[in-house]
Amino acid sequence: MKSILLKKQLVFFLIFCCSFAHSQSKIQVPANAVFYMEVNGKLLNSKTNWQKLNPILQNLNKNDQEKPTWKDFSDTGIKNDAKQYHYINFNDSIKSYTAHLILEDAVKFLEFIKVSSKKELEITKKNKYSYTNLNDDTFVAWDGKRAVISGISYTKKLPKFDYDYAADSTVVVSVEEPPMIDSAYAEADSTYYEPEKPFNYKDEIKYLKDEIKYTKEDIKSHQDDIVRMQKDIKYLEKHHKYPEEKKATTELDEVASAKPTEEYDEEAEDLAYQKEMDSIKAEDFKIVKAFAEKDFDRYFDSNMEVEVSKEMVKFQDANSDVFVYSNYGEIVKNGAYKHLAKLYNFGDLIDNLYNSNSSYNLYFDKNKVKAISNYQHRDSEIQKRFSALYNGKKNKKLMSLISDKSVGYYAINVDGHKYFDLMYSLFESKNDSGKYQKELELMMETIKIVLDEEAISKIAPGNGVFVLNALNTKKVEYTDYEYDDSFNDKEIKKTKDVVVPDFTFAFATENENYWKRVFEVLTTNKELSQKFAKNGDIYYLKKDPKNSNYIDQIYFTVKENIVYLTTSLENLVPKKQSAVSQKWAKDATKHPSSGTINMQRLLQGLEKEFTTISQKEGFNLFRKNIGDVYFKSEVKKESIETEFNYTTPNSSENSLMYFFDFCNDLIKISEKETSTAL
Amino acid sequence: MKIIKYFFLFCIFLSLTSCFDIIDKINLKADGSGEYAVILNASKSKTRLQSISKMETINGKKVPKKSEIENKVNQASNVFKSVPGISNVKTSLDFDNFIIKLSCNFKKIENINTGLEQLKAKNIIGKTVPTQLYKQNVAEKTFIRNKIGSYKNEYDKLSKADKEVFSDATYTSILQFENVIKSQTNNSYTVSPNKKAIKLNGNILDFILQKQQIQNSISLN
Repeated sequence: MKSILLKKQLVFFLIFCCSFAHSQSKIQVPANAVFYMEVNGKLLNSKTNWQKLNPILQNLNKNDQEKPTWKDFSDTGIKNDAKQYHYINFNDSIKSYTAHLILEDAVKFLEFIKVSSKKELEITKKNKYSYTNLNDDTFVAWDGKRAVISGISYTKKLPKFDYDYAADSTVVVSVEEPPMIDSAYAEADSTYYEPEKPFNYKDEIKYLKDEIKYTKEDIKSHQDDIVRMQKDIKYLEKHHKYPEEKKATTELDEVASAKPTEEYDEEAEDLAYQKEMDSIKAEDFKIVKAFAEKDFDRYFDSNMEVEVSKEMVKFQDANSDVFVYSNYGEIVKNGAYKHLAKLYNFGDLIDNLYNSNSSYNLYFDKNKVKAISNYQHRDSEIQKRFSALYNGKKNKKLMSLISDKSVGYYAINVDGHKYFDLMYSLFESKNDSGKYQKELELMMETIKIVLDEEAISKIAPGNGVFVLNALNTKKVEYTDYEYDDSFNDKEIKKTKDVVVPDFTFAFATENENYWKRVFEVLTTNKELSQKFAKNGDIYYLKKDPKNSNYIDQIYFTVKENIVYLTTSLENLVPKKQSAVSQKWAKDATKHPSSGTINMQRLLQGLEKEFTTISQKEGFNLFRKNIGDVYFKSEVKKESIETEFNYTTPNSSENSLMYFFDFCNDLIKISEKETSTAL
Repeated sequence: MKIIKYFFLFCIFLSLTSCFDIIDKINLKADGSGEYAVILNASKSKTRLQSISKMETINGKKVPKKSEIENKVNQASNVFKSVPGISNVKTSLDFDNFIIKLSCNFKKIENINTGLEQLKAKNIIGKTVPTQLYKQNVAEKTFIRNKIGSYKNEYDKLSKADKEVFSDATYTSILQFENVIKSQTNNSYTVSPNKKAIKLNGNILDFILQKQQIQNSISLN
């Protein structure tokens, strides 16, 4: 009996140890991380020309302090051909950025951060690692093999705001920060969620007493305002205008045009304010440092391998140079719109709109940069509706408007009818949350009854194209002044060139008559007919005799189930297409969304806009370095996949070095301008 | 970060840059009275302004309607009319060419300073606009164009798009005298061949950032 018990205890102990060891083995990227990036160091390092890159990085690393700059950025102690993991997550109080790096030389790494920070660093040595802070919110920790960079932003948690009261009440409740009830030293889990503290009546009493104090001050201030307004009313009843000496300015940007007034001691006020800010900063630094240290402890206690959830890397391509994942739902839920959504009781609408992930695979090929993004809504039903929307009919006739001379185009082929299904699903709630959810649902049901979705989608089924045919110039006259010998002025007329786009916007319709009626109204309505006229089937904007319109002529018409809006009638005639434009047209027909811009043609058209020497220099630099842009979207792997391509000129060894070379040229121009100015 | 700043240089080139000129002229008689005129000429940007005038907002700011601008100019005109020493106030608004003019006669140049102060007090011009611009001593035959402070801080606070408005804007100041000019302290002002007028011209940004000085002390014969 005793031996059986002993065996059971031993087995239990072994299972416990194994699971303990396993659970402590790897460091998990938080499941609610809003941003995750994996850098394929091996691929990127093979494409980097460090000899070229070092001077650029040295230049960027310079600052006004005359301290030495790190010379060789390929030798910083960080293993260049290893993977790097970066992620951001936040909650109410903490926003943190973490980067995990592999080191090949810890001593060199320490030297690198000392030189790069350009100041004395206070290094704290712990049992398994050392760490330092580069500034008030950035910390670096390292041991012999790994390093972690942690950037933490801490905002004091505000007391719970009664959103229902604020939404109902006609008076906005002012939210005051609580006094120092900072218990952020409390046990924080790996996701930095501050656990709910047990209720402490003494803290609560102190907080309420402070609230009373602030509210009394508010009341006094409001009472003063009321007295002042009552006096103003009496004065206005008598004199029908404000007294000049009593009219208070309320402009927030009031700046003394001469000397500061004697009553206001700006210097003393600034000093007091600075002291207060310094004390708050010191307090916040203590909190942030504690969080960073806790995180470092956890990391260096593990086997220091980083584990990422399958959901985050679902669309990762192992051959990409950089992979990025972002969780829009979390960003909105915990970010800027968090309180906005609660305040206006949109129910699940905001959640439904943003509850999605986007992943990006970035490739620096020899002659182009390619980025493939995958957008996926976290609700599979809503994702299906997005996919259905992106499954439109093809329309070859529209895409025949793309010609050899086109500067660029943007085309869509979506199913307009499915748009309504998508919109309705965004307003649905899975858990009946939201104060006005029932009312919203009733409104949506009523809209479904009232709207004839089929008829509406026939007006514009979902196929459209915008083609930028050319950038032309036109001469415009303007007034200037010239001066005689005695500096008497005289008005003269001069001319200058302005760039005007020549474009065509066209979309399919299954209800030609509807659009004909719209155009007829433009030409027959008493007021609109002064601006619009008709010549046969072609409607047009009348030319302004004062030449005050930017675009002189706009024509619109509908024929053969296509509505056209264009700046030139020639654009309505299908043009000859070469192999290149045929390919564009084919792509535009095939994909739900696609587009391209020939940047050289675009810049050529814009040349007249750059008149000064420095503008021309910058323009020439762009013209020399700019490449073409092409993108296409389609439904793939239960997501909307968009491929974005940017072709780079052959001047650089590959597309990665192209960006650094370009930046370097920009820096040189900017430095030249600065030195000329000095 | 520097790279981002340089990268957006291209976007700045493509942004809605516009240029305008401000001209102010003073014609001073020997007894200290004279004529003052200020012209805001945005004609060179009229194509863009015509498009902007059809919009509701630009760069996050409301686009003023024609009636609002007329109202403001009329208010300014009324204020100037109420200043003792100022007479014959005229305004002209050309919305086709985007030129606004205001002119008046004065008994002494300090009346103009008072007029500007009044405009500021009534919020017709901003609080940062300098007003104590001129000073003269008829007996000693001196005329002073006062120094204005730097507006670098205010300029730095503007958004990139708002800063671009000033990039090609120019300022011209013309001072014409009945007497011959004996001397001046600021050689940036060009003297006319007949030595009875001086002209200063430059980029508005240079004056805002005090790269070019506007103050001048002129002695007359």
